[in-house]
Amino acid sequence: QSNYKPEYRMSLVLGPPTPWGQSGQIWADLVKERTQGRINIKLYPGVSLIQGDQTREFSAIRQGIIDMAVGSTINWSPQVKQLNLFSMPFLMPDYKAVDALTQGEVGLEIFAAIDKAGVLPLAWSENGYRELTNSKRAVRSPADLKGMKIRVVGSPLFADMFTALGANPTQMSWADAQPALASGAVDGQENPLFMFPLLKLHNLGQKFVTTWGYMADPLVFVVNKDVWSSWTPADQAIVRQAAIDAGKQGVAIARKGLVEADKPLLKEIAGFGVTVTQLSPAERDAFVKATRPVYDKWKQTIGVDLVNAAEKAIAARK
Amino acid sequence: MALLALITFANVLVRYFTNQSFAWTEEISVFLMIVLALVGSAAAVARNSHIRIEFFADNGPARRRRLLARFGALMTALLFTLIAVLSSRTLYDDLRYGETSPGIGVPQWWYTVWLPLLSAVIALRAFGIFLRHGKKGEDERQDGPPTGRSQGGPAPSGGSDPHAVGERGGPPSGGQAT
Amino acid sequence: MIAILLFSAFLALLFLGVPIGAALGLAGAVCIALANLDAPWFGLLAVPQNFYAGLGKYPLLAVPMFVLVGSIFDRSGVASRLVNFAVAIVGRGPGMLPLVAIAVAMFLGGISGSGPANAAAVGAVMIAAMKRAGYPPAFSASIVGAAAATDILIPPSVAFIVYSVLVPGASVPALFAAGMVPGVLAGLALMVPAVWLARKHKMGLLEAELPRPPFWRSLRASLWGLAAPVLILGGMRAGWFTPTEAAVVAVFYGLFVGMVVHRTIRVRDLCGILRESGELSAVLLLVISLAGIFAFSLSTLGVIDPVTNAIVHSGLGEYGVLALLIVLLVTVGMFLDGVSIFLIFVPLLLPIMRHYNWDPVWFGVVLTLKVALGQFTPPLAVNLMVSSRIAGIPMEATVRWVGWLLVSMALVMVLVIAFPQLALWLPNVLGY
Ligand code: NA
Ligand code: NA
Repeated sequence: QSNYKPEYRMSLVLGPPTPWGQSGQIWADLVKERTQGRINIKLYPGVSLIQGDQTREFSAIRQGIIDMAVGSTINWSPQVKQLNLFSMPFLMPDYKAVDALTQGEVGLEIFAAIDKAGVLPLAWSENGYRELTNSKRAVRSPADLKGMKIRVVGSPLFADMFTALGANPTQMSWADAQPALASGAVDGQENPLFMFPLLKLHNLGQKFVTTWGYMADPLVFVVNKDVWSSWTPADQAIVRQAAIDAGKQGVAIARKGLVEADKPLLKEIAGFGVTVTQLSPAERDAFVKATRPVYDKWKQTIGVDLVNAAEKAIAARK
Repeated sequence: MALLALITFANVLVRYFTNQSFAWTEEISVFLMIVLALVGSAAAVARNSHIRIEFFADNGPARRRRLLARFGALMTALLFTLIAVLSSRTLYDDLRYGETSPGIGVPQWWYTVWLPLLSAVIALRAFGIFLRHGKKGEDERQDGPPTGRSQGGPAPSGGSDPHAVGERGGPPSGGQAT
Repeated sequence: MIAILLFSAFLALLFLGVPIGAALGLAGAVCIALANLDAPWFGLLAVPQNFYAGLGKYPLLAVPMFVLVGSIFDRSGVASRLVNFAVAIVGRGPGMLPLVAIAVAMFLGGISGSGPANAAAVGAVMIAAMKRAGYPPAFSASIVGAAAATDILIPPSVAFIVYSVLVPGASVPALFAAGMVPGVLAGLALMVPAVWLARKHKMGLLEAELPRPPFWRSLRASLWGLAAPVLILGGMRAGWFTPTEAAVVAVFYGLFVGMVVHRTIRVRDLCGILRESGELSAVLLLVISLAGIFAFSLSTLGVIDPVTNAIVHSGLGEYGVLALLIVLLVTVGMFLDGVSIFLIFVPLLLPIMRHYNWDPVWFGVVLTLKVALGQFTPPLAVNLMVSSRIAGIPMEATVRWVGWLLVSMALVMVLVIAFPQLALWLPNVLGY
């Protein structure tokens, strides 16, 4: 108890209005309440503890610069290659498939990989399915994407995927992407849909949304190992359970507006004068086929056994 | 150093004129900028052109000026020795955990190995200045008149522009999973 | 406690003449160690990580490039041709050359991104010409130093790029657009005391005897220079390129003009240009990266919230706080350059900005105006340093003239504070 810090630093990319930020906030609140204030957590959104460099966040947690974090599988994939699993194109057709991975054997295997990379994982939450938006036309097939300049997140897998679809992927920071989208220098981008109203994407010329669900980005709750071992077993149990509880709430928040029968979030977006295209199974298959070589290539990198296990878990979902 | 600048510029040029921006141009450009900053800084240490307040340090008796010049060089050497040691530790981390670069997926240590090396170069140069000022003694006056009360260094000294740090996230910022 | 140490150690090192980057880094590192005595390596691994991450940002690539643009246009012969053209328009007469100097500096502001580069380019041409016309060198140096300060307001601007990297919700194009009107106003405001002082002290009496350049020929000669801001700013507006790419385009445009059209830059000069701008940008970039360490210390020590609370609940009210900030920054600006002001104060000021719901773009313009003033406020005034050196005078000699110019530009700052639309109108119209 004597070597408890007065305050612990939690790193996040997005702050509290988003499901991501709320996951972190709920976790911090639950921990403080259940430990009677023994463990105080301060949120640092924007990965500000490491000057916004999201791709080095994981190393910073391992090195004790950051005490704990709720982080994205995409951002941590440079350090834990198994986390690329969730970015495999069209691996997870629906939310049940996401749950089948995170809540099953595959999730435990990935936790083991994170642990081996030097950081202690505790629970899952969700950032959500990343959907495609653009300013040019309704995208129903890979042919519609041909030649479109799309801003993607910075990971080699994403560049491969969009190239395979005939698009022209561009990596840039969001600060650069905003004016590029507004002026038409870049045609489209991909992000979870809750970001659409938040970023006012319709004001950046994004008139077409395709809900293709090509990948879903789960979030992971983690703690630095030295920090963890400085806590009493009772407090460890509290922090772990709080993460699990916060994760459940976070997942529910992330899916809000998309799991109800009439999908109110899509209606809200359509209300901005945006055309929302939902792919039929046959249309989706064309995308799956076009990205298959990328899938096969990355299966080797991620680990054939792990991907096979994931495929099996998804096939067996109820 | 000049070449590095040119490569950086050429990289962005490729990005623009091929109408196709490759992930590698961004990652390599940023890396080259960091190398440029370190190499250029080493040169600037030797020429004493780093941005500083010379109002007190460069006025007054020669003895005080020399003392403060030595102090400044020693502090610079100290900081960069610290950075060299600590970044060797993070380099070891990158190696041990086999980290790959976020943009193009090459081993991260290809980039991070330069930080301890170049920091050590800066530290050594600063330490050299420290020793040189120590030897000078009587010849101090030959260093030329004090440069006045502003920054020294080559003409349009960069002290001008506000600079800062830290891309705070929030929804409208951040590069990756936003 | 540690927070007080952070600032006092930093200030002590600074006044002892330690380079500002090293002062930021050392003060930051010591405080990180003291705050993490229990942690492995005293939590100091944050030092290299923040050093690297502070600099490793793609938008910052525009900084070395706009420095290079400045170096190139400095030698491209554009300034002298613009001066001829401007003289051809306004003609000769008392007070006309200072007017031309300010106008040309504003125009070059549409190409270059930093004040000192602008002062060097305009000073090289104007100070000699003004001397021939009978203006005292100290007056000319003051005019050039002040006029060059409009450069960081008129886009493109390195100051805005850095502010944008620091502040979420302020994009580079929005800041660039927002700087336009205040930048032009600042230039116009400088013209008033410049002309008035020249007439009052009967300077430039020899000016009328100098020949007036022919209009059409000087127009044709200056076309390449006139086209540059159109290309840079128009290209960004049209979405041809991002600010970083615009800088690269400007580099090659400037090289083309300097080497092929005006032939003022030879191939063997290139090495020197690259070397000089490489070192200049390195000095800036190093401060940025070392300030990453200071910023980490600042945000983890928990000083920002109490300071914000104290200021916000001080009973001064919104404009009182703003006035306090201006007084504080003006004082600090007498000793610190713009780099340091942004680095040290923006993280502290952001929560205050949020509390009062100040528009981040407007706030950036106000801060940049303040920094522009600091560029020609002695004793530490980078622009004046450059122009005084060209004029061959000690900087103290400018004090007599520069005060009027400072007051005049400060009035523009008051206007922008009173009427935020002066800054925000253009970005709104352009849809940023
Ligand atoms: Na400018
Ligand atoms: Na920004």
